[in-house]
Amino acid sequence: MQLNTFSAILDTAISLETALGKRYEAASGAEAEMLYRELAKDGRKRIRYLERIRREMVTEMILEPIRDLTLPDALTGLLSAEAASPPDPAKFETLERAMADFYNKAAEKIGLDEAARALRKMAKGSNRRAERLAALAPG
Amino acid sequence: MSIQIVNNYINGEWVRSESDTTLDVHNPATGEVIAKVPVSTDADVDRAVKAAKEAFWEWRTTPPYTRARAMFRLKAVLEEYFEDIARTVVQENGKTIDEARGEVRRAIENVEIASAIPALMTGYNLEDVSQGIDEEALIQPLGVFFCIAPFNFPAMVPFWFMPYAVATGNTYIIKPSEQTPITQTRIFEYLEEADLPPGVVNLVHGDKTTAQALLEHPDVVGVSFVGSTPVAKIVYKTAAEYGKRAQCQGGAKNALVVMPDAVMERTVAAIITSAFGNAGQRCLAGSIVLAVGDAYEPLKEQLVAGAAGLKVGNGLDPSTQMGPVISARAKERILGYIEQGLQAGARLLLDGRTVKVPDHPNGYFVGPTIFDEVTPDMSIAREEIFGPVLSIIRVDSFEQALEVIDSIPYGNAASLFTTSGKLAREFKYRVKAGNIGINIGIAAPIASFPFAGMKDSFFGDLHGQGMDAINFFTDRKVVISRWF
Repeated sequence: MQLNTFSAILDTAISLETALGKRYEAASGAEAEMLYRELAKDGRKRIRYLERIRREMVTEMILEPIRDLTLPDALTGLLSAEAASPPDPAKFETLERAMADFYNKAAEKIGLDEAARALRKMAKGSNRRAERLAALAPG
Repeated sequence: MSIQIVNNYINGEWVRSESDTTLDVHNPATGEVIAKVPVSTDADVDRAVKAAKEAFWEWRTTPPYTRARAMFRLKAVLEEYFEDIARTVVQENGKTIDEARGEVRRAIENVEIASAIPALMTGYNLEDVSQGIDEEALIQPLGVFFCIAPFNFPAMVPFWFMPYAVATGNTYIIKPSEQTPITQTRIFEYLEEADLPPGVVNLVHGDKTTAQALLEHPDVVGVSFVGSTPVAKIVYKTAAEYGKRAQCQGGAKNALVVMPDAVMERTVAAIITSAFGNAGQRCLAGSIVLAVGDAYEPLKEQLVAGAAGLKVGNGLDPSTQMGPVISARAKERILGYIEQGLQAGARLLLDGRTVKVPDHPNGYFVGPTIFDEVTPDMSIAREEIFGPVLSIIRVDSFEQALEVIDSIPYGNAASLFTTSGKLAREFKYRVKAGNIGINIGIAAPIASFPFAGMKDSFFGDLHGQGMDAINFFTDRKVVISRWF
């Protein structure tokens, strides 16, 4: 998927966070349920933040085409309807790392300093979430 | 499925127009009729003006801090329904969701500035202008104002005016374009939550006959217009005849000058956005590139490559980079200009006439179009096309570029791309255009600055937005006093 506009990046980020949140919510009964619940709650805050960025940082004057940014393969499955396998902290951790990577790449391409800062902040958040998940992983 | 007829909003209530005549509103991406708009009658107009006039005194005497709070509420409502408003803009105008969101943001920024009204409309005074005599200037609202809005920014343009008019204590009527009436209808639905007193803001739909009725109404004190130059002239003249204030923004033919020392990659991106953003339907769109000397070859090549890569489609798809033009008629007019360019001897480097958008066979799409070997006397170099057509004119020098700009009857915007501070200064100092861009393709003033315009692009003296708007919507009364 080509992410060639400001809205394409932000809409995709919101869709990814929404899909990820749903997977955390669906992971009830899992060993790490408390953490998943917290991450789902935090995810809703992150979505509100992204929505605000999308509303407030769209600067019509310099909405220039964005090149060479696509949705990474590691995240394409996230947008499909259901998770194929049961929840697993290690898999969630991989997804969060991929999200962080996506946000950092998008920050480089988005062309607006303020929006780039916001995306990098999202990346940091994803990495922090990944670390919490890593702490649950065996060994 | 029945098609909804949009209603007027008068005196705090939704009312059906008395008119039997309606016009179709199309989704430009699909060609479908999505609503019908009434051509409101003289009686509808009179009802709206009466309501606005009756509401004026109470609103005028409402403390500015209270009026400012109404602006805060209006901002909150617009933020809450931001997405819905932006999507409505896309559906009836055709622009991309990026552009629509940008437009709604611009509308809100004007509300933000207007919410500072207690600080912005203070008067001034001087003691002891003579022995024991003081003098003061009071800033006062005037009454009922209205705007005639264009199709290309259905959310934003009315907000260049309405928030300032209302915050300063006037009452207001918006007459949206008959091609894009749904956005303001939605905004007014939400605006009810901002709880402005009945009659302070009103919405009257219609066409030029409705606008004429508003313009000639004896209880209206002023008009803001944005549209084409011939109509801007008519509105300005009529307003003068009827003794009303007027600010009339007309058409444009904006030149983008590229010097050989310009940062080419960034310049090309900015020009593409300027020429093809909003499908070229903005009064700040760059429509002529003046390529100076050695800038010509690399610029031409990169412009064509960049523009050819733009994704044309339905604006609701976030990956779309250019939407359709507003109507079948507009498309026909644009294609006519492309034909004129070819007949005049210009060379078509990129032909947008044959663009195909999958699943949208009835949309009004014209792809990015670039002409080369254009001369300043050709119609495509002088007339406003209002579509995604860019003409490259090769010039030898900066001076020659300025001569070409001088010869254009319009003066809305002009941009220079260079790394030379000296040339940038010369450009902004000498060029007769209201909005100047230096390494900026769309020189769009933000809300705290006037949306300027010169030559045949503007008729009046005070512009929309910022302090100009506040001055337009207020009068100065001087009081000289002495106490015995």
